[in-house]
Amino acid sequence: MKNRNPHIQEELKKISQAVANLPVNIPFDLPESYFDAFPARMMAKIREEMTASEELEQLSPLLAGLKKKTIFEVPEGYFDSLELKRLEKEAIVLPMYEKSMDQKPASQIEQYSGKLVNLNRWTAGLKWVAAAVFTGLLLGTFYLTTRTVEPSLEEFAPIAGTEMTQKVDSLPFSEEALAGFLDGTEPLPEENFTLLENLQGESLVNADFSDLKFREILQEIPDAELEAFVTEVPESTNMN
Amino acid sequence: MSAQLTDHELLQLFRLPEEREKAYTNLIRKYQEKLYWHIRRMVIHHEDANDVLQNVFIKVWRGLDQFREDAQLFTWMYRIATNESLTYLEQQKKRATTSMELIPGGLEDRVEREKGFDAQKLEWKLQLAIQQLPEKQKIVFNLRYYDELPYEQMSEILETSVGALKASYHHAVKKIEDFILNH
Repeated sequence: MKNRNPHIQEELKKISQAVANLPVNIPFDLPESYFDAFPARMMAKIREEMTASEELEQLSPLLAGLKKKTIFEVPEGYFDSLELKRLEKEAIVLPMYEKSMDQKPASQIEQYSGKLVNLNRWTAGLKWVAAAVFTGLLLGTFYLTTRTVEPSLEEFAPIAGTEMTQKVDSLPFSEEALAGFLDGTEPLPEENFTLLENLQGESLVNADFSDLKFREILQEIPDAELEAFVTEVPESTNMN
Repeated sequence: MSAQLTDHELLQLFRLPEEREKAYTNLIRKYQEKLYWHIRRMVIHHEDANDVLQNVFIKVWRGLDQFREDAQLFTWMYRIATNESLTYLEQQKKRATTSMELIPGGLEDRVEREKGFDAQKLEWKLQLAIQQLPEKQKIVFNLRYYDELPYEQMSEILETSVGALKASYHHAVKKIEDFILNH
């Protein structure tokens, strides 16, 4: 037992004889050679800690002399509550939550009540694909319903074939009159226009049948088609 | 360099750049054990005491240039060690309340979890009794009972009057006696 300071031991006895008789040694365990190694470890730590501040001292003694304490203030207890709020909100809570589901009591699990974000990239990307498809459909519908298109020759194709043959068959022109008209040597006989007026309701004859317009339309019909027509109808009806 | 240098001599050497580290190494050797045990009796675990002791010596290194010799170096270092230990304990308490982990908290628990703990042995029973004391009485009792510091020096460290310290020590001893006799 360690020898005590007699004055202190006497004082203790006056207060409590029982406590004065207690051992003075401390029962705590201590790693071997702790105090032998501590000064060297401590100096190494000090060198490490001092590097930045000593560097600043060399660069600018004025800056080094300033107190590092920030002049800005935060509300009391702000950082204590901040950590908890951040953990509740961040997506990182999800894996923590899942991992600890089996270990934590229900009361603690309820604390993870912040927004949980699904980290599956494919699932998250699907909504963008759906949005793109919907936008495409919308724009396509708008385009098709609002466009104005000049009818092209291809659109006349159905009537330029068999249908065209039937239409021309019904026209009151003689073959010679038609050939002359196509050559540009003869105009259509005027009386034929009167007959044409009776054919209203037919898609081809509803068009403007003025001389020039009719020629333009017929010129758009391929020559091969017209030759085929002439071959197929050798005895064309004489309108007169 | 001799380990028997006085505080004044150590401070003189510390102010010489080429002797600074050597002087400080000697200062550490001179006071490490006393400061360590003062801290250890407060925080109980060795790892915690080691952390706090390192913090103390870093603060002492930083403040030593400005240290005024009208105060005792030893007293000043003890004050730093006391404050660092209390701050450390306070931080651990806060961490325990904000953490989701269930940290076993009480200092009595810490004593019981120490290697070699034996509740039947008087030295361990005394440690348990000390943990029942209010913080200030605990520090006063430790400084007087283990470190055998004079009240005047304790008064400087704790910035409390000698009379108040005597009263604290008296109350502390009585509470410990009561604990020992009833447990």
